[in-house]
Order: sequence, then C-alpha cells, then structure tokens
Amino acid sequence: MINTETQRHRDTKKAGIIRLLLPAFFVSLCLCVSVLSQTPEEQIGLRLIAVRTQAEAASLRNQIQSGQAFEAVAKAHSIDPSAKDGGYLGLFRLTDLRAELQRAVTPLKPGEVSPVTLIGGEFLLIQRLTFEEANWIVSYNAGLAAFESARYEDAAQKFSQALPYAEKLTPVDERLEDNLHGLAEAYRLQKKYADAEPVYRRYLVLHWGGSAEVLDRFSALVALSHFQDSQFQEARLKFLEVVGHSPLSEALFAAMSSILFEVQLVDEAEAVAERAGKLFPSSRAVHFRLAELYRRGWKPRKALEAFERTSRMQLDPLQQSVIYQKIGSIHTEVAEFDQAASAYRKALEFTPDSVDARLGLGDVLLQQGKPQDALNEYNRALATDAKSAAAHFRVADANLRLGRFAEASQAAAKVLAIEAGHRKAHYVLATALVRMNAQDSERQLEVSRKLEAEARSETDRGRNIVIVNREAAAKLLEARPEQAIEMFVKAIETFPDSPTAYLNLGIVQSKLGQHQVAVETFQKLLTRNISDSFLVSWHLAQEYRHLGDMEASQRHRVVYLQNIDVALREALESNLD
Amino acid sequence: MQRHKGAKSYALPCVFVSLCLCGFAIAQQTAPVVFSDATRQAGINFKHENGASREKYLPETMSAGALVFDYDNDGWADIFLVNGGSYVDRAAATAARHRLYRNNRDGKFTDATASSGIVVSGFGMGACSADFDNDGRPDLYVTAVESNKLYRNNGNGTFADITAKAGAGGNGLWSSSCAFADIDSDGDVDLYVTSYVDFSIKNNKYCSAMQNIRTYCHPNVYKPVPHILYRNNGDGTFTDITKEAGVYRTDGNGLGVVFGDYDDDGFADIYVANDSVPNFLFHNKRNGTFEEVGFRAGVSVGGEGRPLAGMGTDMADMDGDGLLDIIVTNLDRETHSLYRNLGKGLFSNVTFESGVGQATLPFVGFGAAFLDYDNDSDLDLAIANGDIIDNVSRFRDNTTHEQRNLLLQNDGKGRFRDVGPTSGPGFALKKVSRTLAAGDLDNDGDLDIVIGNNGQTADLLRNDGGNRNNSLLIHAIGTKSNRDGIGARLKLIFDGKTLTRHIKAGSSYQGQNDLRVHFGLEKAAQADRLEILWPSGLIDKVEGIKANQIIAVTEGRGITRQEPFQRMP
Repeated sequence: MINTETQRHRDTKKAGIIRLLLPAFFVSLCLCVSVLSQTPEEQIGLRLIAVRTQAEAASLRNQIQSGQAFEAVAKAHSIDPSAKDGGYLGLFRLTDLRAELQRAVTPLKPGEVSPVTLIGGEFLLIQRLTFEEANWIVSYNAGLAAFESARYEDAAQKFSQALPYAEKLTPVDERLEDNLHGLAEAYRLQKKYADAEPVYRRYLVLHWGGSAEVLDRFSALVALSHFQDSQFQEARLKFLEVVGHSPLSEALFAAMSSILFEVQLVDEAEAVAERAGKLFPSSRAVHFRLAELYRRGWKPRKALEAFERTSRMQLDPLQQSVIYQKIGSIHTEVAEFDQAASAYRKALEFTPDSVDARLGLGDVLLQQGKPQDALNEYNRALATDAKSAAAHFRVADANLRLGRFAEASQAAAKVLAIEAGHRKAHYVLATALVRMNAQDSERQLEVSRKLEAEARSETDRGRNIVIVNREAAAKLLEARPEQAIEMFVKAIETFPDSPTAYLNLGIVQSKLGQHQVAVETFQKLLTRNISDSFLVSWHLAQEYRHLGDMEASQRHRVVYLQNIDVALREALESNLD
Repeated sequence: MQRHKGAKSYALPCVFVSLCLCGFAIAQQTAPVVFSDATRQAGINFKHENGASREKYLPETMSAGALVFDYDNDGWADIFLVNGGSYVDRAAATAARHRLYRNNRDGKFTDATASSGIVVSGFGMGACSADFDNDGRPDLYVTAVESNKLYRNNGNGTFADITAKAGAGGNGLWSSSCAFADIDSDGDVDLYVTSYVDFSIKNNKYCSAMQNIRTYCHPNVYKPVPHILYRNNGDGTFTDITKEAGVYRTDGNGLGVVFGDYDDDGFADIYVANDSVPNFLFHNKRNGTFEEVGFRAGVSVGGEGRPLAGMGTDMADMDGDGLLDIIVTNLDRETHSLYRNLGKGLFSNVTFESGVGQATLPFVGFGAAFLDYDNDSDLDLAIANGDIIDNVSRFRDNTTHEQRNLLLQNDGKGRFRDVGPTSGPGFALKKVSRTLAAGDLDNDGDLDIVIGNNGQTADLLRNDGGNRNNSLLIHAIGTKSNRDGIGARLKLIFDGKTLTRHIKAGSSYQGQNDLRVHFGLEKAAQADRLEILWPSGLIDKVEGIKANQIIAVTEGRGITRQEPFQRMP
C-alpha cells in the first residue's frame, strides 16, 4: 500500500511542498557571519543591496522610499550574492560588523534604509530589519531546515515560534501564509490532524480570501456536478449565496470559475466570474477571464462585448494586442471576417511582431478565399519566428490550396521536424504527396489516417466517459439507485483509469447510506493511483464522519484542505493567459 | 426658322418610350429571381411528426425526407413527403403517415395518400425513386429506423408493398438515405442504402451539453452500422451484395449518398456522407466490386484532416470542366465542404476559395442540391439548414434551432455568394430544415424547391423569375439502359459552352430531385447539340433544340416528345 502522505511529501508538484522549498528566506552565508545564539534583542537583522554606481544606488533608494519592497529591488538589481535571498544577510551584533558598516547601520531605526554608502568599491544600501522580521526569519528558516530534514516536530516548533512575529509583519503578505502553511504541513506529517486543521483553514482564508465555508460549499457543489437532484440544487444555492456575500480574492474567483467550467457547471462558473467583475471593476485580469469564459462557453456575443469592454481599460500594448486577437478569433468563428481582419490588424498595430496576430490575420484571409494574401501574412510571421510550427503549417496549408504541392510538402516537413506528431501537417503532407504522385504517398496517407483515427478515438473516449456517468447519475434521479450503481460499476470496468465513475459511484453509495462501501470505493482511487484530487479526500472525510470514525475523518479533512489549495493553484495557473 | 411645335412633341415621347423599354429590359435582366412560399397555395398541408420527447431519442431530430418524382407519368412532377413517428405517443405515431401529393398541373396538389397503398412503417427517414423493374412506372423506396419499404408502382395511382418479396427491407437497422443506379451496367438499377448508428429505444443514451442539459446525442456515442448495396436481380428481387462488392464497412455513420461517375469511366461510383467520421468514396472497379478511395482522393475529411459532420451530399459539375464535383453539408463552425474534381481521381477542397465556406460557417446543413435556379447555365447551390439540438439556444448565444436555408449563386467560375436574403420570402423562412429536393413542379422552365422540415410543415418554394432566362428540360427514357436513364451523362452545347449534367436518383439528404434534367440557357434561343451517353454505352445526339420546352429523348430513337413550358397566369 502506498503511503500517500510520504508520496505527497515527495511530490514536488504539490504547491505546499514547492512553497516550503522556496529559497526566499534561507540564511545567507555571506560576510562570513553566522547566526549567533545571543538573545535576539542583542542582534540586528540586515539586508543589503550592492551596485556599481552611485546614481543607480540613489535611484534604487528612491524606489524603495516610494514603496517598493527592499527584497524585490535587491533581487532585481543587487550584485551581491545575497541578491537571491532578497539581500538578506542574517542577524549580527553591531560590534561584529566592519567599522564602515557599523557607521552606516548604527543610526538606522528598525525598518529604515541607509543612505548610499561606498564600501569596498561598491555602493551599498543597507536596511535594518525590524525586530519582528529578524526574529521571524530566524525561526522560519530554522523551521524550513528542519522540515527539509524530515524533522517535523522540530519544524512545527520553529514555525510556531515564528508565527507570532509573522502576525506582526506588515504588510500582511505571503510570509504569514508561508508560515501557516509550513506549520500545517509539519503537523500533518506528524499526523497531528487536530492541530493541522485549524492552521490549514486559517492559511486558506488568508491566501484565498473569504471563509472556509466558501471552499466547503464549493467542493460540495463540484462533487455533485453529475447529479441534478435536490441535493445538487441545494448545494448550488448555498454556494452562490456564500459567493455573493464573501470577500473573496480575485485569485479564488478565477480558480473556482475555472474548475466549475471544467466540470461543465457553466452557469455557476459564469456567476462566479461575473460576481468578480462587479467586485473588481478595474481589474483587467478579472474582465479578461470573464470574456474568455464566455468564449469557451460558446457565447461569442457576450465574449465580444466583454473583450471590447476590457480593451477600453488601461492596458499595455501587449495586452491590447492579446485582446484584439481574441476579438479577431471570435469574429472569425461567427464568420464576420471583415471585423475579424480589422481586429487582427489592430492587434498588429500594438505588436507588429506578434506571430499569433499575423497568423490570425492570415487565417481570416484564407477563409475569405484569399489564399495568396494569407500566404503572404504567414510568410511574414515566419520572418519573425522561423521556428514557429504553427506558421510553417499554415504556409503548407496555403500552398496546398494554391496547388503548389512541392512547396506544401516542404513546409509540412518543416512542421514535422519541429513537432513530429503534428496531425494536420501529416495530412497536408500526405495530400501533397498524393497529388505529386510521390513514392511514399501511400505510406504517408496511412500515417495520417492512423493519427486521425487515434485523435478521434481519444475524443470519443472523453465524450463517452461523460455520457456513461451522466446516464448512470440520471438513474438515481429516476429513483433507480441499483441501476445507477450497476451502470457506474460498468463504467469503471470500461474506463478503469477514469476517476469520475468511482467518485460518482461512491456518491450514490453514500446517498444510499452505504458509507463503508463508499469509503472502499473512494479509497480505490488512492490505492489504484487513479486520483488523489481534493474531491477524493473531501468524500472520505464525509464518509468517515458518517461512520463515526472522527480520527479518519479529520485526517482526510486535512488532506482535503491541502489538496484543494493545490487544485485551486493549478486551476489558476492554467487559467493564466 | 422656327421648329414646328408638333414635331418636337412627337419626338420626346418616342425617346421616353424607348428609354422606358431599355429600363424595363435592364430591370428584367437584373431583377433577382425570387422564391415564393407557395405551400399553402399549392395545398400542401403536410406536417412532419418528429415525436420530440424528453428522452431525446436521436431519430426525432434526424428526419423529414422529400422526393420530387412523376409517379403517374403525366409529365408533371409530384411530391412525396416522408413522415417520422413517435416513441412516446402511440396515437401520434399511428397518425404519422407519409404523404403523396399528386400534381394537379395548375399550381395545386392533391393529397393522394389515402388511395396510394403507401402506409407508414416505423419511424420514416427518407426516400428515393426509380423504375427498378423497367415497366415504365417509377417505384419508391422508403427508408426508416427499423424497416425500409419497397413499393412497386402499379400504374393506377397505387403502390404495392413488395419489400419482403423483393428482399430489400434493410437489415433492421437505422437507414437514412438511399439512391438508385446501375452499378453493373446490366440495364436495371441497383440500390444503395446508407445506415446510421445502432440506436434503439433500449440503448438510448443520456447525452448532455454544458450545464448537464439533456440534448440529442452525438452519433459517435453509438456504433456505426453497415450500409447496404443491393443488386437488382432483374426479376423483381434484390440481393444484398454489400460484402462481395467490397462496400461492407462498419465504420461509417451514413447519412447521405449520391451516385456519380466521378472519374468518367462510364461506371457509377458512390459517395457517402458519414456523420463525424470520414466520408466514403467507393470507386467502381468495373468488375462488380468497389474500392474505398475517399481519403486518397481528398474527399473524406475536412481541410485539416479532421472528419466533419457529413449529412447531405450532391455531385455535379459546378465549374463547367465536365467533371463531377462534390458538396457535403456539415455542422456550423465546420463549413459545408466543396470538393473540386481535379481529374485522375483527385479532388481539391475549395470550400473557402469558392466562397462556400464563408457563407456556410454559421449553419448546420442537411439537404443540398446543385441547381441552375436562374437559368444562367451554371449550377448554383441550395442548402437546407437547421440545428440538430432543439435547445441549443439555452447554452449558445449565436445560434438557433431554426435556421434559414441558403441559396448560393455561382458566378460561372465556381465562386459562390449568398443571395438568399434577396431571393424572396421562400429563402427568408427560418425552420428546422432537413431535406431539399429540386424540380420544375409547374413546368414553367425554372426549378422549384421542396423542403422537408423536422417537426414542422414542409415548404414548397416556387421559383418566380428564373424563367426570364431560357432553359430546357430533358426527360431521358432508357431502352437498353434502365428505363429512367439513371447514370446517363448529358452534354448540352450552346453558344460555345458545354454543360454537363447527369441523371441521379437519390442525393441531397434523404431525398431526390426530379429526374428530368434541367439546363439553363441564358438568352440562347436554342441549344446547338445535346449528347446523351447512356449507361449502356450508346450515345444519342440531337441537334438544334429550341429552348423553353420539355423534351423526351428515348435511347436509340432521339426526341420522342416535345412540349413547351407552361406559363402560369
């Protein structure tokens, strides 16, 4: 049996682990000064930026005075080895510093930045850390070091020590989140679930905004996405209600609407995104995501309105170009080719070297029946990026339409040299070779045919998984639970590596009060390595609660909290455009 | 010297009159051809029963066949409309009869169903017609979800169900379109029937779109079922030769079919439109067998190598090069595909270059017909559109279940533009259209259109103005070849132009056009020459045919009947 906890600890894709491994606050060993064991009050924490010219140092100082974080500036500009750690040097007694440094540091109050100081041929800016920050860094880094060595008890102790300091840091930012997350993980890995849960919840609220209730209601809704029964309706109402009242972060709105869309709860996804639009009227990202959601949801008219609204916000040229490309693509989809061409041309005004915009314009021309004009645009795109498989493919396709089979086959071959499995290029190549009566045309036709069949098979498979699950779920609505179970079991046999049928089977078993059986069903997802998504742990937490095994329930609840954070982060990352 | 006032006053009206006449002539040439909705006027009151239900049984959304044929041999095309049925309402199912409308020759039709002997059987889909027994009377084949029917024309306005005796009842699986042609050149027509998927009430799937809204299923959730090729034995019976002919396939969701000699070798080939899987092009190897060559020929998938929906199809020479080109209708956002015949067995996808792509992108297409609606000698396109998903507006904001049909005018060089919006009320209708069948229903020299609509009334669109240009209608009568001349290739030469048409029985989607061959002649007063290459191999040539008439040409005998077009009051 796989120790999932160990596995997850090893799984570097899990955001929690990644966050713990971030080097942001590791102790720097520069200046040959080590952290001493004196009381923190006797030590001062220091950060450093070193640059080569006074002018640059002065400019950076101004930036910091204007509100930029010292660490960010250090990371971006400092030539000192401490740059990667945001300039952090460590804790020192004043008397341990070189005289010039002492002179520079002594007048500084906690949090202040020194004037530009020339030492050793470099122009320095030195920040004296506040007491809280210095102490936090020491404890937090110690916690990290212990965590990496799998000394979770020590890690928990250090993170706990660091926490009161983190709570006093301003602004309230990811430092407190990192601390809470580290502590929660340290508890979890010690199996101290009762301790871990409240810390996790606190971390999630801090990071994502809103309340823990929001995520619970979100999970309840997503879990029931296949079941259009009264329980689903109730879950839906509760979720929308809490979304309507809670101060959620932009990121949470984005992540939730993305996941809702993936499970085909499009109305709910739109409701969440629209609510975000109301709460963050000036946020370009929010409005862009809403527009993109409409587009993916086959609502081109709404998408166009939303993108056009976004285009009127304050955007940089690249952002404007992207918006107009989206507008262009939607107009193309609805056969409004003149408007599409106009949009792509506008995009090119903002970013003349944009390959995507150039290709988009070419595509419009092609669909207007102007293959030569399209080819010209594609060639211009290639002049910008000679390695663009997309551009080479379009050149191949345009040449094929123009009857230039040799050119088409050459361009298709270039595509395949970049992306060997490019299905469309294989087709164009095969078609061109047949028309040239080339020797290997039959072989290439066969390759193309096979690729097409494989792609179709994959699409059909995905579609069938949805259908068998919906069909089986519908039986429950018809008050035929036994049939539903039978159908889910069959779905599992047919698609043994698809988690959906397992999840839905477990839900039905749960609805029928067969909680032990439901637990076994959900556990199979873990033991068979099919899925460890947040829904699995969510369901297991519920089922164990039904069975009265509160310890197991809590254990899975904690895992659920960890996993939903991961799921939301992944959804957010995939959402970024 | 003063000019006489009288002379001046005479001069002006003459100029005015001649200016008026010029203007009128110009107006005549440039006024668009319009299609009127003549359904009610014609007495066609057929409403298709689709049995739409909450269970979304797939047949509910797929049918409404229509056929234009002269069943009583009076020289006037009649209409046959295929009805559907219901899986949930027994009364509606019983009441859903196919309808036979006899042309009264005065713009009106009479419902002749009651005495015809044609009864509903299962959920009807489409129909095709040919004189399979060469007795001079066009017979009828009706496809359905479970049991197809072959009706022999008794010649007295009635039909006899000879399905069982003939052995042509299908395979108990869902049939869609059908077409007749003489594949073995033995003088009688054989029959191809497309089969769709293995849907049944028992295995009806629960399909849904976004938001878990139940919808009609994608065909790929079912398994395809093999199509059937029947050989006419010449004795009133048919034999299923699907396997021995090499056309047995278990991977085609067949919806549309058309016969045509695409490689001009004198043998009928078969093109099948398959839904969401590659289409078939069966090349006739002239030895009783076929070879599927669609992928190689470039007509089985869309421009990027992906199979498209593939519903209706037609084959004709749309660019005047003498070779048969192919149109296939698909879903919206796919475009309907136009494949131009390059010769040597190859086609080029000219969907966008021809303008068809741009015009069809927003539409879900079914029936399609190449037809010269304006009599300017080139073949235009008429397409019946209508979404499959009845509740599509629930989750998409740019499409509707009911859609307008398309009339795409050919510029003579194979470029098309959408003229539907200026072609009268007939093309302004927005319905759930499926079949489209063309024919000169009023014998006035221009082509009218019958449209079968799913769950709605059928439409008769009367062509008003097409006959401002001249035309000819050719009724081919085989003697050595099959009686209807199906498979014959006609070449008409006038004013230095050569027009190529062929006779096909079954095309579009679940339907069939008038078997009489129509040629638009622009303003030419006569055709210089007509050549008919019969399936038997015989060639008939007729010289100097006056325009604006219906002529019957009998194989080996030339013109055997002539009759001028009717001009309706």
